[in-house]
Amino acid sequence: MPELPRYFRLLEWGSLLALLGCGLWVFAGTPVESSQGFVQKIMYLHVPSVITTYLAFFVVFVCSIAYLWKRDLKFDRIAKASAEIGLVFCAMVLVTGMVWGKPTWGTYWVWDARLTTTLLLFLIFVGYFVLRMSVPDRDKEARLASVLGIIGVLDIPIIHKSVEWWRTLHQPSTLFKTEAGAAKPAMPPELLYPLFACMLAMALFYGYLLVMRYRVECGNDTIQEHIANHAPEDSRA
Amino acid sequence: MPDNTEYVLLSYGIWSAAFVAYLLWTWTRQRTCRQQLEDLRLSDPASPKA
Repeated sequence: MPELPRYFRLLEWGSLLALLGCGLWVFAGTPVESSQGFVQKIMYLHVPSVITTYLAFFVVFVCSIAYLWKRDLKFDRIAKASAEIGLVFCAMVLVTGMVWGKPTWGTYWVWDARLTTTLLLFLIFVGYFVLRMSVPDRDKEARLASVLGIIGVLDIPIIHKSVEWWRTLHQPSTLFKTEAGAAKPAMPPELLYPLFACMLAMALFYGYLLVMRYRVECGNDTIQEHIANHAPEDSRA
Repeated sequence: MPDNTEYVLLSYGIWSAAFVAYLLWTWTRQRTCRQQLEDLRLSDPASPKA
């Protein structure tokens, strides 16, 4: 298992304290939005979870390409660790979105383009782990998972553009709107700044989880390698 | 109490519970992995260190 980086404790405590601080800011320091009321507070959880999901799967995309190019298992371990964290964040996007949908749309779920493509992303990465578990050869597992990881991430631009390409119940972009060809913030600063803070806190938390998961992957690979090297001759084939 | 408070509490509650569970699971896997590497090292001095 690799040594813990020197910044690890800082990342650990920094991300946990940042999440707590953001929670306090959201409930004690942000105004209640006029059209949705108190339920709009879910935005500070839902939107940063979306951005962190995108970040996690983007790391999968980059590391999968790097693995296929360099054939270094280090990249595959990072991709696997990031995919698992991304899957948890994606599940939280779906759940918090459903809970937010009930008071605002009157229903937990509709087969709307944004919701359906997000569910598809979640299912692709569930499949990613099923694939990994079903292939015994480590290199073959990494190769196939990298291909599926790259294909899966291609769903993200579709999710992002779905509210423009199809008529959906989901609101358009939360962060920015385009006016006269220029991107402008879609909300006042007193709502936007805490939202950015929540995004930063969740990105830090993702970084912390990624370092931990990567170490576990390194350790597991070392154990499997050791077992394979010390297996009796007749069981190696 | 403001309207729809239950939905806000439900969202934050589910999110927090999910990540506490995930953190505990990851810590457990980390500890198990470290223990297995230590066992390997004790049984075979040539094996990788934990």
